[in-house]
Amino acid sequence: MANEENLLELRQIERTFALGEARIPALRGIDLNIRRGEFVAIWGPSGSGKSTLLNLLGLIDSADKGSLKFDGQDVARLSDNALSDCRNRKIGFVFQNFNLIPVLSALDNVSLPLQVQGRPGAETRELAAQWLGKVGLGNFLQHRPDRMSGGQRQRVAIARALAGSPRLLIADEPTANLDSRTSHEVIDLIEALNQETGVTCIFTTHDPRLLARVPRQLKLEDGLISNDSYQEYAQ
Amino acid sequence: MNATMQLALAWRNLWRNRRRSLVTIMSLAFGFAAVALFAGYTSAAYLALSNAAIHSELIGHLTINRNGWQTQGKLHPAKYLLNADEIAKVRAIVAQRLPGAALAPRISASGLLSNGRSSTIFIAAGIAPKDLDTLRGPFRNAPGALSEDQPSGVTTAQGLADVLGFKVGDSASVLASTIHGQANAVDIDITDTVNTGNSATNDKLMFMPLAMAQNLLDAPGRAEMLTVLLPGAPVQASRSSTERMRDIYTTAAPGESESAALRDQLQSDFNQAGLDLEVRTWQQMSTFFRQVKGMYDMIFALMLAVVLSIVVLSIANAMSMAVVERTREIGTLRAIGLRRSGVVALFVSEALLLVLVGIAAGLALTAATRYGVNAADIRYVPPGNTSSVPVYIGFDLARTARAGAVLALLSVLAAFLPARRAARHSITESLGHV
Repeated sequence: MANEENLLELRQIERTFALGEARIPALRGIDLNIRRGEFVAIWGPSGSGKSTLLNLLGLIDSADKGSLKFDGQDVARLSDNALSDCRNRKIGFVFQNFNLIPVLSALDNVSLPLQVQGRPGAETRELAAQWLGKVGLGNFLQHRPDRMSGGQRQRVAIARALAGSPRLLIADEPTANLDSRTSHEVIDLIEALNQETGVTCIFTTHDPRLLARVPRQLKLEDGLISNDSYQEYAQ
Repeated sequence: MNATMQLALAWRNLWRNRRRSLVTIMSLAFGFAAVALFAGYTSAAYLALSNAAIHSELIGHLTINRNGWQTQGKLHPAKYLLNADEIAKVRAIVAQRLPGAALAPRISASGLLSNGRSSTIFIAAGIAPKDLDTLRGPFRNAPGALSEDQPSGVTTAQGLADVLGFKVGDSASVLASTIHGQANAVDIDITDTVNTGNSATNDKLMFMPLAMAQNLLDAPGRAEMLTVLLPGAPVQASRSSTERMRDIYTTAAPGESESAALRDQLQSDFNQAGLDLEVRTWQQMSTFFRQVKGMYDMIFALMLAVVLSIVVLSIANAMSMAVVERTREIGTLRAIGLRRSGVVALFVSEALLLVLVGIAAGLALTAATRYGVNAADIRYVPPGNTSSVPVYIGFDLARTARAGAVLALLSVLAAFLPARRAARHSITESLGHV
């Protein structure tokens, strides 16, 4: 029975990768609920399965076994087009390397997911400008990514991720390429937007100083959740 | 993504690797220009050949003769020549079916031309001087005309006159068999000489008035064929050789299907009138035109295939490299919700823009080359000709447009395949691509 409070429900999720003839298990039976509006950090050593789990939560990869429900829907039943539409309307991504389209201005980059939704050009530009203003880049609308700093690029990426009012923000090591001060600014921004918009935020990190600021921390080891601060708190 | 955003993104992506895009556009432009120029050259050559056949070889648009004349006419001329009554009936039918068309009765004779000391064979086309003027149209002012005022005046081919040492104003005699098989001779005055432009006829051909030919063959009022010149053909004499060339390179003769339709209509009219006649189109009459057109069409097809192969491979290479270089970007676009079809559409748009820019550059190159070549008055002697003709490049809109469309289609396919492969690639692997 699905709990309406939960945005994500994972049951016995397994994901294995083939490397030549060897099969490497990345996730080995994950059970996890993530409630709407939560701010969650996933951490753990390299190779523990953080990115694999994040990819599954962001619907850009699929599990070999188990079930994953997003917003009450079993994603295994969705076609590729339905998954694309779901990502476009309900999920925003922030990548470690920003992954902005280099030939587009900040405004056009932020407009992109809205354009994919099929919204009119004037509306997308207006919304994109608003979001760039919210992340402190109101004066950089026409700047291309190559003329912006790392912190500014990541702010553009955050604006792009949130412009479509998604229910989930996925950030894969969003501060890995940023200095300490900028990392805190970016996490401050994500935290503020989480509180302001109620969007569920999940990010991975290696930085213990950032972890301390996050209400719920999931530690992954060898493809399993070895520690869930929410469970500890609940107990 | 709406079309404007997609095209804007495709346009910007096109210039990411400026050098590669420019090289691809150049190969497209040169390839397309080569095809357009050759299509233009051959289409102008077809027009020139058709006009030369109709007006210079005096084939006209349609030829009417008695059924069986082609195979039996030489052996039994009396039986296969048309008589005055039949010619009048045909004239009435043609006037009704094709108002404004000209009809020229003709008869040919062959025999010996003599200067009193020696003789050589000749082939004469007997035609009324006025009809000859009409048929020659743009060539009317060129050497070779007959005059109503000189009933014994003939025009000989330059080579024929040279063989016997004739000059304009000389007199000679011709000897031929009548249609009844008796020898007959008439005296002629050489009023003009003409270079036929064809080595096969330049030492034999002669134009003589129809009445003289009928008299020589003892066939008064009779004709072996009736040549029809359709209304709309250039019947005015061109004022200069440049104008004449322009006329024959730009005036279109009826196409094959149009000629065949007219032939069938006339054939049906003759059958209904009880006339056992055969109608042939100018395309059927001019073997040379058919052979040259067939050869040029084949060369064009081969050239098109080679150019298309090179250009499409160049586009396929450019698009494949673009897809590989932007694998991570494709992953990002897929992650933010662009469907697979959207990724494919993006790269196909880029290929289409590439082709459009290349074709536009190719058209500009075609126009500049065409202007330069036509203005330079480059001349050459075509096979079988005895005089030079200018190289003239026309513009074949239909074939150029078809070549452009095929190019665009193949380019889209060249972009579609790698883009489709990339769009189907795992998003996580695409995002991790280095």
